[in-house]
Amino acid sequence: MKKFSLFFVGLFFVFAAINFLYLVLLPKIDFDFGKTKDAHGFNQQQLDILVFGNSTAMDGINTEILSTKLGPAYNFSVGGASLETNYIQLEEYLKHNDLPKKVLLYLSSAHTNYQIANVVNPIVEYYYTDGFTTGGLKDIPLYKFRWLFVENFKILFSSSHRSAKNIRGQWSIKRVIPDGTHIKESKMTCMDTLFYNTIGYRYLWKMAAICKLKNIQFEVFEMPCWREAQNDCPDLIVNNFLGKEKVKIYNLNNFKLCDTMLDANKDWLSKDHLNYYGSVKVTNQVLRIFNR
Amino acid sequence: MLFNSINFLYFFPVIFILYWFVTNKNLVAQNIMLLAASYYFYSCWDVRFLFLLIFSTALDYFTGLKMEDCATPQKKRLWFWLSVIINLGFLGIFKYYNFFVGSFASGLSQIGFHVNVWTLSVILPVGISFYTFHGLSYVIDIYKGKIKAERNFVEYSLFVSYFPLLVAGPIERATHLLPQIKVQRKFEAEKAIKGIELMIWGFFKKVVIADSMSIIVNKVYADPAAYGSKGLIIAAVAFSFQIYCDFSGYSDIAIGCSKILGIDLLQNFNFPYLSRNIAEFWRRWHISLSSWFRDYLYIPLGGSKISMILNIRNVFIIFVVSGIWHGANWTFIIWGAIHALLFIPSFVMGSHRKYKHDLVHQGKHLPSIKELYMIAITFFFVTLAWIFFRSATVSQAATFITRILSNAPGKSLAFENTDLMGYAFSFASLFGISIYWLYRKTNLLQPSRFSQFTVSLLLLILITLFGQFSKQSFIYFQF
Repeated sequence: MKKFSLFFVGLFFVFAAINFLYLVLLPKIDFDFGKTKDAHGFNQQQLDILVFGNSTAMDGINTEILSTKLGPAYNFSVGGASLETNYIQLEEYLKHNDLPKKVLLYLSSAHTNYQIANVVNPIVEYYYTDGFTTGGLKDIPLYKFRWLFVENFKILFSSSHRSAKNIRGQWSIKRVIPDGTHIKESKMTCMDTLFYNTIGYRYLWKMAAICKLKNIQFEVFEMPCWREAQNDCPDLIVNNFLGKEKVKIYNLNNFKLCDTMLDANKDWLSKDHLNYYGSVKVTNQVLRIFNR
Repeated sequence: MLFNSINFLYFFPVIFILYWFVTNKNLVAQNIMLLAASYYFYSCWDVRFLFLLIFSTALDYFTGLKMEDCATPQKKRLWFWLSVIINLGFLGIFKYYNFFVGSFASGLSQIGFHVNVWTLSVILPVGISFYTFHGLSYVIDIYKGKIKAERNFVEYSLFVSYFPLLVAGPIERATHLLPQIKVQRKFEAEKAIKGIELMIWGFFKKVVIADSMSIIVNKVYADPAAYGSKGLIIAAVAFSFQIYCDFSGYSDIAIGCSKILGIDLLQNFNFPYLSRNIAEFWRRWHISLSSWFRDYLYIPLGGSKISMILNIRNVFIIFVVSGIWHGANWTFIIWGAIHALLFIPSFVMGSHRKYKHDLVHQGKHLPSIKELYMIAITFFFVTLAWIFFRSATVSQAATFITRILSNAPGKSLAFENTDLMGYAFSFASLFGISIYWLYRKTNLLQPSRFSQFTVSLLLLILITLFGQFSKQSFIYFQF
């Protein structure tokens, strides 16, 4: 029994040690992880512009340009972030830092997890909540952050991924994958106020409420997608059914705007994700909106 | 209870502690505990069918005793047939009744007679084909005088219901398992470590390879008419890997956890996809079922000591019955018939006994070109037959094959995160294939402690990183 126990316990401990090592290494090698750790540690920062969203905003909003034109900016967006994730980040930032002038929230119509309740990005959950929430098997680091293993594995084989930079929270990458998709009629249906009052959007309203309370300008945009997911909708002003907030959602995903603003062959990094060149164009469009 | 469930992760350590630390000094207590655990394991699926299992066990136990105590061969035969008929009767009712009645009605309607048939709306008790064959082999062995009837009901029940093999085999023989149940087990560290290694290997096959492949397979087989030939070929090959990794993964977990309990089970797979012809494939695929059919059907039908024509007929019968055993559907019958047609030429030419003992290129690093060619050809035919096995209907299988042969256009396989899938598959599959090949060459099941430890650790890491944990049941549960 001793030999068996040694084998079994040894296996358990080495597996646990590898998990621990993975957790220690992730902030050093993974962009999302490292950035979230840094952002969580912000204290008495004086940022004027805070950018929130998921991976589409993380690649596609150029905080360097925003900083030059509007004042110090930081991109808090993380891959797979839900609105709840963004709300947790915003709330935590406001607790420990000076109030910003603007909060820019970038919605992605390419992802549907806004419809699902209680989805928090595991990295944000790890840093901003109790670390390991359940204490169960799902919290094993290799499992909890399993997608990051593959993402970082890619970096080994892709020089463009290796040359990507963290510029004020933006994942700035110059890799080009052309958008070869076509406009789909089925995507042309526009969302209405009712849609933005469904359960998945309740944190949008919480963000709006906290900004209103602290007198911060809150602006919401819909990020551009590949052609197959672009729409033909106007900007939309929506009200919160359960509160007094009202927000305007600027639609950057309108196919007519995208056609004039973006080059399908040069500005994309992957499906629905802009590269550095695309991020410059979209951010300049955002500045044009502010200057109207 | 599924091996790949959280419940099993709690269940097995509890059994391990009770088995080796609480009841280890008393064989009776140990067997009673194991039997209770087995019944609990089975009842987690559906407690109602536990009574069927107990009834089937009691039937074979008592007929075994009656046969042994019979004064005349006629009475012995009577008890024997009673057991066979009731056992097969249950199997027939639960598994085949609707199929045969439906096929009969459909046959009549072809010739102009329309009848309304009464069908049963019952679910198939999990593992019924496996435990029925356990019981049948026991009764047949007693009838033929190969073994004595077991007089201890607990020990006999444990032979039938032992949880690692209860729902999907391997199909054990009384001559192999009962003697192990009857003696005090001693904990052997080497055996238990091999058990852990096998369990981890089995989990890897199931949750990393089989369940990942099932994503492709389920998508394409749900609507093969919509897919182009490339997508169909990928799905057909993916199913070959899925079914192997699913079923052999189950067997590995079963054999592994039994080894930890000090009980050896029969080997069920021996590198079937490295076979050089169909005959070799059948010596390496689901070995416990193939040998069951050989011993209890092929040999009683005359074995090899009859004319070639009768022999060919018998081979055909074995394969078709094997197909029916898998399920009540014409697709399984055709699958069996295809294998019979593939097997018979080598049988007639006498080459079916070739490669009986050695594994391909055993002891060497790489196979020869000729061997690779033979392995590829065998794999091709096996995959072709699997299309019938996996399809819901014969016409669906025909559509599948026709679209491949006509290079039909259609949907390609697109995934939401192709990059991720590609990396995960390549990484895990490369590792799996390497281990598969190395196991063949050096029999890594008896290697140094260091390599056992390293392989187990790497597999554990891959399971955590790439495993699909959506509680997918094992394919062979439905049989």
